[in-house]
Formats: sequence, C-alpha cells, structure tokens
Amino acid sequence: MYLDLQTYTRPATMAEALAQLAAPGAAALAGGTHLNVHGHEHLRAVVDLQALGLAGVAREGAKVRIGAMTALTGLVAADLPAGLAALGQAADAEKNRAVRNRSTVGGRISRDRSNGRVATALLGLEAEVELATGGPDGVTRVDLHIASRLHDVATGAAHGVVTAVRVPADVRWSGYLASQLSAVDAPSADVAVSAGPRGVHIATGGHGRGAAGTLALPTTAAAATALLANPPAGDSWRAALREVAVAELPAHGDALVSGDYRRDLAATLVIRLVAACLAAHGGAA
Amino acid sequence: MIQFEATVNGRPVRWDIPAGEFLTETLRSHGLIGTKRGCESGDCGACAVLLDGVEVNSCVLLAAQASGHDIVTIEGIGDARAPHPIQEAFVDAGAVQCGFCTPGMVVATHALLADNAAPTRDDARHALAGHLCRCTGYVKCLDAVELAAERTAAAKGGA
Repeated sequence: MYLDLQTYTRPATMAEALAQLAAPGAAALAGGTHLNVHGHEHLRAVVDLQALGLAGVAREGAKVRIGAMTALTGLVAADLPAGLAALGQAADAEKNRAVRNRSTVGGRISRDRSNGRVATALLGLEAEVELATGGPDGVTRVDLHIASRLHDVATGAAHGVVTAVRVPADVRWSGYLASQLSAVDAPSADVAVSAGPRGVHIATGGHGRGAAGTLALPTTAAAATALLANPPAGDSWRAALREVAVAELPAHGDALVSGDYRRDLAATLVIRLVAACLAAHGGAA
Repeated sequence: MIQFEATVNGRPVRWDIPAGEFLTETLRSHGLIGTKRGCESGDCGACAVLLDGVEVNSCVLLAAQASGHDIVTIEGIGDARAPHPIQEAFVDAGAVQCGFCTPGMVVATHALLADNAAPTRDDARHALAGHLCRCTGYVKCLDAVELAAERTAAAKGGA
C-alpha cells in the first residue's frame, strides 16, 4: 500500500513545521494510524510532528496539560487526577493496543472524518485546545474551546497545529460510556459526563456522517446539563433527563445506525452513565 | 524516494524507499515476510511489529515515520532453528493452525510479557484484542499466552 507522497519531512521546530504545512497538499502527521484507513490520495506532502517534543502530561496550575503527541496508551498510563477518569476510559476503548500505542490525543481532534471517543471525553470535560499558528515570521499560540476546534475540523476550517489540550484538574468525577455493534466497530453513540465546580457537563458523540453530509459531532447537551444541576427528587431525574436529552440531541444517521436510533441510544447511555457515576460518588453531582 | 535508516532486528539498515510506503511493504520487500499483509487498516494485527519495544501495526505506519527507530519483526524474536519460548508455547498449546495471524500474536505476547510478567486471562485477552484469527477461536491463543508467561517466569526463576 502506498500514498502518492512527494515529500516526507520531520521538522525540528514548530516554525519549520508551520512553514512546511503552508505548501499545497501538505498535512500534519501525528501517529499516522488514520492515514491508511480512509482515502488520503490527495496528499502530496506530510509533515511529521514527532521531533517537536509535543508528548507528555503535566499539571499546570488548575489545569492538566496533555501534549498533542501523547499516545492514547500514554494517556491511559498517565497519573491523572481521579476526577478525569473519563479520559482514560475513552482512550482505553479506542480500537486495539497496537493502534492506541500510536494514535495521539492531537490526532483524535484533527481528523477530517470522525473524531472518536477521546474527542467526546474532552468535550465532556470542557477542554481547551492549544494551537500553534503562524509561519516563518513567528509562532503564535491560540487557545480554543474544544467545541470550536471540533466544529472547525468538521467544516474544513481548522487551522494551525494542535500542541496540547488542557482539562480542569478540579473535576470531582467523570465517566465515559459507548455502545458499538461489535468490539472492533467505532461507537454508534458515546457519552461523557463530568461534575465539578462549574457544574455538570454532558457530551455525546457518534461516528459517521449525517444524512446532510455533516459530521455527527460530539455535542454538549446543555439542557440535560442544566437539569442535573438541580435534579428532581428521587429517581424521577431519569425520565426527566431522557426527555430533555432526546429533545436536545441531534439525530445524525449514517451507514451504521439511523439518526433516531443514535439519539435514543445516546439518551440511554447518558442516563446509565450518570446513574453509575452518582452511585460511585455518593449520589451528589 | 527517501532514505530509511533504522535498526531492524538488531542490524542497522539503510534502504531507499518511496515516501508514501507503509512499513509492512518496506519490511516484506526486504525479505521480512513474517510480517503479514492483512486488513491494511489496523484492525487485524497480522502486521504487528515492535517499534522501540512497543507493539504497532506496521500497515498504518508510514515507513518514514519509523526511520531512526528500533524495529523488531517476528524474525527478530525467533525462527524455526532457534524459536523463542513464546513461539514454542503457541505450538505446544495448539494455537497455530493456518499460522497467518501467529506472527502478530507472538509479537503482541512479547510486548505484553515485557510489561507484565504475570498477566491474567483478562490481561491476555486485552493484549490480543485487535488480533483476528479465523481458525482457533482464540481459546488456544489465550492458553498459549498463559503457557508462555509460566515458562518465562520459570526460566527466570531458574536462572
């Protein structure tokens, strides 16, 4: 198997990388696990980011900074705060170990097809994305909310090189849950939920393209999040949450599942995950 | 063409390769045909090799990305004249039928035992997930991982 690449480069600095990426038909190369899976016949040049020192996980004040080239197995093995469990759960559920050893956090939020589980977890944790932009005249750092980044990727408007993501270190608990047709399939729907000082956040995702050709992006279920901030007494929050989740979630269908099925599945996963997290953390959001 | 320089099975190599070639093809075109060409999408595990000691699917890795690194293929783990204990365990456990998936499974087991000398059945299952076998039904493969771990531990204990 070959790609019709004319050049492969491995720059030593971000300024070099950005200059090389300005060439027509050039793309940034992280782990590369997606390169052979879908059609990338248009690519003529790849700029390998492996020499830029973008891997690693570190605490930075009230945030945890995860370098863009951190492999998913590195994320699973990282000494993350317990409240960030959703990240490890999502990373560990991606495909298989050999792919997780190469697939990177930055790559999972830069793909032009589907973003996958880690993107959903990052959205559920209200992550920030750190980008490097610019060129020969200098490198500028830009911070974006994860939702903006995913939207830009889906619409072809993404720019710059992802250098890291940052997630709040003070999240009290979080979790991730997915449903797929078989163990080797991408999820038909997945959800991530987190609770912290800024409230409860719920994100849902699913692979594939919607009927109108739009990506089934991870979506923040704002009304469901608001409901959980002041949940009804007893167990009635389950029915209330299903109602608002179904009303709010998009119905993107694709070759895997219909839009209605995906929406209903996501609502069910949200309820199951919230119930499991509440049970594990003393019933308090 | 670009120049590929790496250590393959302990030997430094310098090969001219197309920039867009994936590592499976590079290895196979240089005689290392134990690395199998399977799904070519990172799903079946037949092409697994060790890159700096870590298991990767060579079909979804541009060879150029592996330049400058240490690569071990199934031939570097053991061969018919000097089989590795993991390979012997796969034979003795009856985990080899057509054999197409076996190199990848042996590579995965090698990576697992390097990290975890006493894996549980679940650890073994987790490690072999992503290695598809159409012959054995996987039970014998999991038995082989356990047998390899026992023999490796016994050999270390006796050393």
